[in-house]
Amino acid sequence: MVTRTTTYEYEQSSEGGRERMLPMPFTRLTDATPTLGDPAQVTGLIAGLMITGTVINPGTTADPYAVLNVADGAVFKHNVRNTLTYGAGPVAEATWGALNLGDPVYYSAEQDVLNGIKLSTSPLQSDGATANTLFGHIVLEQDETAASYPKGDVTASTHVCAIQQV
Amino acid sequence: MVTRTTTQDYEQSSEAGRERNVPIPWARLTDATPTLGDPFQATGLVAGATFCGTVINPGTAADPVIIGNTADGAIFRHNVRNVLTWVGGPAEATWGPINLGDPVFYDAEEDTANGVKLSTSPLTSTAAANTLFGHIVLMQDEDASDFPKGAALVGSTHVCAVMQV
Repeated sequence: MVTRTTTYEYEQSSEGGRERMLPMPFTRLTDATPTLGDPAQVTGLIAGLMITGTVINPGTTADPYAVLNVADGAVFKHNVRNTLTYGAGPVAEATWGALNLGDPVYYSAEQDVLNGIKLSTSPLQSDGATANTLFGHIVLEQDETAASYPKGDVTASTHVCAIQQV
Repeated sequence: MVTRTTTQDYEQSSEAGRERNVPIPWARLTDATPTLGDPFQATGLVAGATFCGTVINPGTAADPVIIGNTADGAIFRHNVRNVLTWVGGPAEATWGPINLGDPVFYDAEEDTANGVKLSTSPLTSTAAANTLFGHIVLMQDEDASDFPKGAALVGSTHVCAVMQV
């Protein structure tokens, strides 16, 4: 398990209309044990077309519903793994690359299993064919400059980035 | 024709920023006889990349322009057919239960077959793309226990809250 940074104290969506709160039962979440401030994905019929968002309220065992902000354009700070591709059987990261402003970021259930990080830059799963769902794009945080980028390199690493949801 | 429920009295998009009301002439609609509260699709050059929304004002014969809410994240209650695939004809081929989070597509063939404009089929009977309309979410009165809706071996229509994309 790599070190991950808790991000739930951060929210950058101060502009109007960047909230779309949805209750969702734990049983429909890819990770059925949601964590406050983490990315979330709702399971669905077609890979690559899932609902994704950020956990605003993780619910409780007695009331097993998470509240997700799924608003397009909402910006949250999330941990992102710089994985580009996976190797199959057993699942392992294969290649990595630097993260830069504007890069697409995907919900990656395999990455969550490997490193406890739910977002990566890998558009495909380890079978090389199944799509990960696009979660958002990397944008500037409020307190940083573009000089912070690129983050990471061709070795594996995890970085906290502001992500604008799609 | 299956029974369909009128949904025009329902709107769940109470949060700010969930309205983007655009006028569109009937001549540019897939269904040129729009109905209040129904989904609509504007025709476009590329299958699967057309834009969709919900009819807020259907217009009149004298003023044949609808007002449609095309806002991302807007939630409306719509009739959804549980068809997964089509065959030539066209005719429904396979069906499946509908669950929270499932993607829903504007399906002109389904409109012709059953008067229902949304289904869970991503492709038409000729393997052209249907446009993604939205995803199934909970209604305000939390119908989680009603899901999954429908079955795998039979065609059926269900009223669901659908969050637009």
